[in-house]
Amino acid sequence: MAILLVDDDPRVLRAVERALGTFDLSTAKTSTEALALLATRPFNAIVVDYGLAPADGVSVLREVAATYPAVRRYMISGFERKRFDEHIASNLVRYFFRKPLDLNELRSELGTVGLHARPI
Amino acid sequence: MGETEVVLLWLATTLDRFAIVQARAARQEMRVTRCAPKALRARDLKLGAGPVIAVLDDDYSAPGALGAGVDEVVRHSELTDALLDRAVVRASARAQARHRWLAQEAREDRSEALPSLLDWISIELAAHLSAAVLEAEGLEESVQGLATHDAKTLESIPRHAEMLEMTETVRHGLGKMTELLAAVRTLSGSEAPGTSVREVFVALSTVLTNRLVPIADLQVCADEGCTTSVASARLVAALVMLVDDVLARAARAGHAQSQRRVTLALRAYVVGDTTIVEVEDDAAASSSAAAQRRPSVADLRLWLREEGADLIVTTTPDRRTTRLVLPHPPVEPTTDDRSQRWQSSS
Repeated sequence: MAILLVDDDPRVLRAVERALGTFDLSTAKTSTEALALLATRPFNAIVVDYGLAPADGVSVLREVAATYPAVRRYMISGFERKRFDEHIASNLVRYFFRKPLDLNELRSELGTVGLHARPI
Repeated sequence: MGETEVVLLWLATTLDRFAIVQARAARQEMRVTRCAPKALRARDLKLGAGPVIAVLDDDYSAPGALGAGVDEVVRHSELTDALLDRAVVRASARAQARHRWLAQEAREDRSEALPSLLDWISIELAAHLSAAVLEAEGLEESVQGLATHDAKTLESIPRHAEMLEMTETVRHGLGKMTELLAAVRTLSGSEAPGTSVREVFVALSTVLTNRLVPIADLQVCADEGCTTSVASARLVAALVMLVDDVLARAARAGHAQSQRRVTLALRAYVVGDTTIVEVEDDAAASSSAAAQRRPSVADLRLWLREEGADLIVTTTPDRRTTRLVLPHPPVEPTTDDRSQRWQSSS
């Protein structure tokens, strides 16, 4: 299963890469880089940090939902979950991971991706 | 100045009937001070102090005295013991009501700023913890794997260089959290006079870093000598509320969606005996809903005026500038000053 992780902190990208060693994980540091990568190869899921520039994580997920609706959309952030309640309710965000990330939660939730979807 | 001690300001030019207040001062807790009406300033009669009564020559001086914070005014020509009694009762009642009101206001002010500040700190802390926690867990798994002596498990353990990189990430995260701790300590500040605006700016920019990433770029510029007598906690709360207002306006205007970033500038410079602090932004102007947001500019201005400070807002179509005019802390006399005074008086 192919997952795209987007976070502006390279240390977070590296740590998650190591933690999810068995996953087919690609990374991007900006919203622009993420959207460019999505255009080049298929992904099952995208995990986006809210704190991105130039467009924030919600804007990236909106773009993904419009262009690649089958890609599962996950949000990570240090903000409270309630900030994203409306996006979870509208299915823009499938699941919210609050920072600091919990390794088991991450493995468990992303582990279900490949069971239900193929790269689009 | 105690909260219940009555202060009687003798602003009258004649000392006729001065004996009445002297006798009263000897009988009960009352401090009598002579002062020229023109020398009376609001900063000398800080709100929050006890009841203040002024004895005046005539009605012309009354507005100035009341404006400076005097609770009751008495015409010198009408001064009697009974009149003074009534003035003390009324001034004391006003001072008590003021204390209750100020205590309530202080709680409300803090309740406005504190959640935002805690939110920023929480976001910053989470950002620095994230990679460190994952790598620490990875290191723990590796150490446990080493203990198994199982060939397959040993093969999956990160190599030496990789483990060093993981350790470095944990160390980096701890370093960032230490910086954050220093910033939080600065922002929690003391109530002592002499707040350094530059230190407050640096601390604020530290706790704001990750909060601003998706929406705004922060520019900070403060001259070296920018200090103020305004309590650190009050300055921090005012700045938090002003920055929070910028972020709220930017969010409402959908700056992140349009990918137009907001530029937020914090500047401080010295003009005469004041420090000017500017909060300037180019976020979209307030909607009517924003205008109703607490605290209003009027609340903030009132709040700052209690400390001898002021607030001025300038809005143009493309930017808003809020200027805080802050008094400098009182200058402590140097050893030379003291010796000169001693020589001149002896």
